[in-house]
Amino acid sequence: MDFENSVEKLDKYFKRLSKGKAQKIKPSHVEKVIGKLAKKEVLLRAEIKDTKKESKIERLERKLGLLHEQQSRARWLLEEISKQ
Amino acid sequence: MMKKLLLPVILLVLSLGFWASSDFQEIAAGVAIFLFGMLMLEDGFKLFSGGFLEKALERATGSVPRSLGFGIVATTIMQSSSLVSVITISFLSAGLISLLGGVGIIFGANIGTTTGAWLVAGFGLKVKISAYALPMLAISIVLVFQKNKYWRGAGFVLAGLGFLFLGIHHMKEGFEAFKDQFDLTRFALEGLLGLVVYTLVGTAATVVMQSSHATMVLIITALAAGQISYENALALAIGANIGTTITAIIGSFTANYQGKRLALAHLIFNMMTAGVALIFISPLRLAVDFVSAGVGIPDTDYALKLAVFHTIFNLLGVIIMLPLLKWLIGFLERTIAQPEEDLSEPKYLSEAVDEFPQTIEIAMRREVKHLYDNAAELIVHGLNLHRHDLYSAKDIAATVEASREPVEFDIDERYEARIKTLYSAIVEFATRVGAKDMPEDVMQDIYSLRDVAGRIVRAVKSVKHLRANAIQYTETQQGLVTDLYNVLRTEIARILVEIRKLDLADPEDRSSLWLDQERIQVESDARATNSAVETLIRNHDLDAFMATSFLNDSNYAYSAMRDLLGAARTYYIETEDAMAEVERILALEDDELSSIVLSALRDDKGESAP
Repeated sequence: MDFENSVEKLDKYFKRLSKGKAQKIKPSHVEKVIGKLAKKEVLLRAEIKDTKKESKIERLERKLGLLHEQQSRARWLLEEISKQ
Repeated sequence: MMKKLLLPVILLVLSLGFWASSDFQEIAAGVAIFLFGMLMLEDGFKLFSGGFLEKALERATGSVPRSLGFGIVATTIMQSSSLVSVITISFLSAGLISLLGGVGIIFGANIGTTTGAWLVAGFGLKVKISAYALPMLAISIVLVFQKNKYWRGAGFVLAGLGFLFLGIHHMKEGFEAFKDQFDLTRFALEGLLGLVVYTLVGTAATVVMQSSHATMVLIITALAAGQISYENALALAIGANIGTTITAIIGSFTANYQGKRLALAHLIFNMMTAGVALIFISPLRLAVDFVSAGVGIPDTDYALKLAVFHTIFNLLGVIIMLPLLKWLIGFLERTIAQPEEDLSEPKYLSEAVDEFPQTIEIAMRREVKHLYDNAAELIVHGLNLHRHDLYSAKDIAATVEASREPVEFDIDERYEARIKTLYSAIVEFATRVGAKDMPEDVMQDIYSLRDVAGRIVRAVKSVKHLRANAIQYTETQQGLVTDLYNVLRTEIARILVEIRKLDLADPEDRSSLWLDQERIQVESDARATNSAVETLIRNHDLDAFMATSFLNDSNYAYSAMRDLLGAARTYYIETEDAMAEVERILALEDDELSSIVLSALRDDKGESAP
């Protein structure tokens, strides 16, 4: 999964920010979201551990895969915001 | 009848007064200017709501001493116990504060309102306040025309104070001149009769003006001009305390049962305080003399002594009522019982919450959740399922498969009663508050919540469309078609379970991003279902008629899922703006969803990406 859309949305956000139409994102805001994704990871792993049905495990693992993508996207955003 | 008579009677009295005396005109104009100032003061402070005021109020109700303190401070600053009681009713109706906290604030407001008498008696009568009023009014108009709402608010507050000062000045001047023509002390009544009659007059005057503050100023200025006796002034002040409960009573007409309880508490408290003051009027007078002598107030300064009396008897009321607070709450709860819950009626969108941005937003949010709860019940029952089975299931697919017995109910009737009525109330509320001067960010949230409600309603409608076939094909095992419909039922059920998990999670832990995983699942399942049906048709395992019905129903089902997820993503997005920005930047767009699903399908087929 590439970050093209997020890059575009971040650019638009910065434009709105420069016009005073958005609230400034601080690194702590992104860190908080990263923490929330980590919380979901804990929940998903616990659910996988608790599940015996093969098809359900597959579904949960796909969710975990997407979660990892979201986490790397959030880390990228943290870097971008920290540069500002 | 009384209401119809009141206006002509007031106009007649005023006309007679104007005809009899030009000084009466000045007194009446003084009262009018004063009341106008009160209105401007209230409008000004309302512009400060949407932030500081609400946060302070929410924090203030943690304990009885804190709510009492808030009532005192807020009323002292705003010089209006009416505004404080209206805000409190509004917050109580929106469920933002407890009844105990609300009653505490009202008690505090009764103490806070006594500062008004001190200001007028100690400052207003001794200084030429009209000299301050005119520059205040001139500066205020400059501020009122500013774009920034806080500057505008400050302008209204300043103008309000300016008009209060001007009103006091005209009342003072009017009474000074009036005493040369008429001697109102002729009407002075002594003893018990005087006490009763003047208490009733004070009550009536406050009911008419809806401001005890205005009545107190009128009493103090008349007293200072020697137009009423000190004894009668005390009774008038007691009457003003009774009359002031009218504001909360009127405010409670549009409030829910909690607002009505608060208005009753206000009435009981003020009646009891007045009763105690009337019974112990002689010892109270001695106490006033004692305190006045102690703080150096001259024995003949009756205006200041009235302020002392006003403070002492309100304090006394609070001291008496505080130990009875638990009893009072119990009495209120018994007298005005919580109405039995009617799921078809809006629970939070009463007119009492209309005035303040914070209460509007919270009430709207809660009502949309109420709509969602009704919708979830209807969707689950519409698919012959039960929420308690689903929410406790380890294997949702197995639970759905096992749930075959039809849930008998009229889905159209239930939709009309529990969905459409609430949705109409939500749309009407959003339109109503949209017509008010609300901050832009608040209105954006309101409209976004209205759209959430719209998506919830669409989801219910979709389920209504597919219910007949879903029941027909899943009541008994009919082979492949039953399996297909069970897949749809299972997927909708999974979405509801995931939304519930998000709802139950600690707001500090949850994120609307969690639902992106479900969005991918829905898109992937939708494609897989279509592809499976095509294969079944090709292989003649499913006849074209059944397949067409199913494809139509699957479209309804996936629309319902998308609407439910869309609604939940908007509803559960972070409330803090910067955090919401982060979530929006990280969230998957629809085109990303499609490309992820396609890429997963290619991976499954072993194709390489172009």
